[in-house]
Amino acid sequence: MSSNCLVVSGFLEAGKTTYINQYLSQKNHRILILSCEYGEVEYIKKNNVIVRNTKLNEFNETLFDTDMFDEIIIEFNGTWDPKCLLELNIFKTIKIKWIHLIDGNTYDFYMRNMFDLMSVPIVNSDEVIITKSNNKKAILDQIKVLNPKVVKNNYLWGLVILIITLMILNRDSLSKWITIFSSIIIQAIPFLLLGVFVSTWIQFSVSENTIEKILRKYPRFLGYPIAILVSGFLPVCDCAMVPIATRFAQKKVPISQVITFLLASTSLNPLVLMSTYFAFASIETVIHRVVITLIITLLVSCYFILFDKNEVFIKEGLSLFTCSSGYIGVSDKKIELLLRHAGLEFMRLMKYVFIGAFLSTIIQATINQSLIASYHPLILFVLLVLFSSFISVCATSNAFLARSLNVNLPYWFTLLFMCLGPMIDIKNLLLLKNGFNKKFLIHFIGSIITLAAVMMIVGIYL
Amino acid sequence: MKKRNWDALIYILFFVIISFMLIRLLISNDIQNYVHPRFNLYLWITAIVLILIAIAFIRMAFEYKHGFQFEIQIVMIFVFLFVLLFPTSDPITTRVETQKIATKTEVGLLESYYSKSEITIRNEDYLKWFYDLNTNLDKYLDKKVTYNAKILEIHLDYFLPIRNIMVCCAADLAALGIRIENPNDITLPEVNRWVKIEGVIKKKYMEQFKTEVPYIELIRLEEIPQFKNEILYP
Repeated sequence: MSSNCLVVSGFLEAGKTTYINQYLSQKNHRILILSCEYGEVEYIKKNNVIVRNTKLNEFNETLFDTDMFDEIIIEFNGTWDPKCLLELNIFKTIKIKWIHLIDGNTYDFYMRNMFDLMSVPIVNSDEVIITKSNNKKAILDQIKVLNPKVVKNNYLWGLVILIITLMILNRDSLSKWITIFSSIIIQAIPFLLLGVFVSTWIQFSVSENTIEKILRKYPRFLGYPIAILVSGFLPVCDCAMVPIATRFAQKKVPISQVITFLLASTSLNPLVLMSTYFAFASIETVIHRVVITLIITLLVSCYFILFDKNEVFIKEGLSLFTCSSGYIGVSDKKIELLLRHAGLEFMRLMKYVFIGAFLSTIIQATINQSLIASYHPLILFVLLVLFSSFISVCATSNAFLARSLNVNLPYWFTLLFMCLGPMIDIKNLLLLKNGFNKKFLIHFIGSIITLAAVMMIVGIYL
Repeated sequence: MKKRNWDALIYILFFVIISFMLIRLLISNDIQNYVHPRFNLYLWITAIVLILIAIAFIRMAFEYKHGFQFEIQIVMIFVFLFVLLFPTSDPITTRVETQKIATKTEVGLLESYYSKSEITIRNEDYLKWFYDLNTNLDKYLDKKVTYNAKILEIHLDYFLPIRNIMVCCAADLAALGIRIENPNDITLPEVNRWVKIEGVIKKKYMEQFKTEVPYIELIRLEEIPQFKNEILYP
């Protein structure tokens, strides 16, 4: 009686048969192969292996002679609905291991044109193997959004377990930490949700081409105010701005305008302004935030004007699927898909809110206000950069984290944290890395951090 | 075990639990210990939208799917359940600090304080009075004042009754209070009790603040029942 079943799926010429042949050469037990398509490569002939060919309408339980074989391998057609396989009663007792093969050379093209068809087997698989490509890591990085199992990273788990243990260990002040922690989360939820909805809606309806046309239509110097205005009217979460900006750069919009667009959006966005007002209950803070962001934006853009026009900053690479946050199933109702997309996006960002809220609770608990004054400015600066890149979460909700930091840290620190956060946030930089080359990133981050240092010195003496 | 989409089930659970948590806090009005009341309407809307999202995932849960993406969502569900099971009803107070909080000051109110020799501070006016006392100290000297507050600390030569101020959320809860000296050795209730204080406003130079600060010489003290909502929102 066979106890396990190996499903190997993939599109034409992904290397399914080659993979199975490799597998077979190591095995000596009785194996049944169910082949759902005819590839160019033949199976190796071995005494312990029997091959059966099948079609979609013939695919049923009678094909499985579980008593005769130790293992069943299904070479599954990538275009078939997995339902025909998974609904069989036989799989109530037999364990499935699903391996999906992707041809790295055609991946980008297929993904752009047949996203739904491509994503279904990826979502179902236990392991994804990229064949015929030297850009495997980049592809896996994209796929892990659809199926986190394909990349092994459990660091988030570790962090959350740490949260819970710390909470339990620290019993005396437990309720206090829970209150602070949950209050940060509670106030971030409405804005996160609003941001997610607006950005999902824009992704569903507004085309980037319109924006791109507007940006390219105007001559050089009028382009900057236009870029700022456009970014202000696009209330999208900042991580959705990065792919849009990348695409502009790929379509030859001047790099300094792309930067203006990218950086200005981190504060001019109406949602960001609103959440800042809600967090600080003062118009002044909102104005400060906008002014500082605009100064950084304009100076960094000016810095990039200095470069030669033909300087190459973009990287020829994979296309980006914006903020795609996971598999949302199939449905004929658009509203259902919109809600699901928003839901997954919300959940993805909640992870970062959790971590951010946790760290800022810890900071509140450990940093002593009287000590801060005695800290060396250099230490404060390192703290500022670390906080901005790791706990800033999202432009729409980092005002609340900043507000909670403001209790222990000086005002200029929280203000710079709010402005820098979405600019040098580690998630956004990783997204930028997909589209821009190293040289760009070094100049981009370098100029922002230098400006931050200058502003910090100004902040200390004001 | 049928090969259904268990991920979708986890998503549904996640959204329902957050929504439930919010609704529970809103109905019991415990929410005011966490965030400023200006969030309430938004939180109601959020709770409803989260339920709608959960509903959108129901059909997806019936799709066939292999495997289970054992991801962080489950951990988040645990954290939310954890928060749900250990609700805190008492606001927390540990720090005493003077943050700069913008308040709208009615001119008439403060004028009436300046003109009288005996003033009674209403609960909702505490914050305005507190800031004005610290900025226009000389106008209040030797006036008799009456107000309600919670005792935070008791020291040998003084004690500190405070009111909690929330600008945005529990993370920025600040305790604001005036130092009270007790020359007549009136017996004090324990820490965290609510009292009605009657005393005379004085000032003195304190080395640690490097300036003149107000303090109150206690005349009479009366214990009162705890306030239902003890947080003040500017």
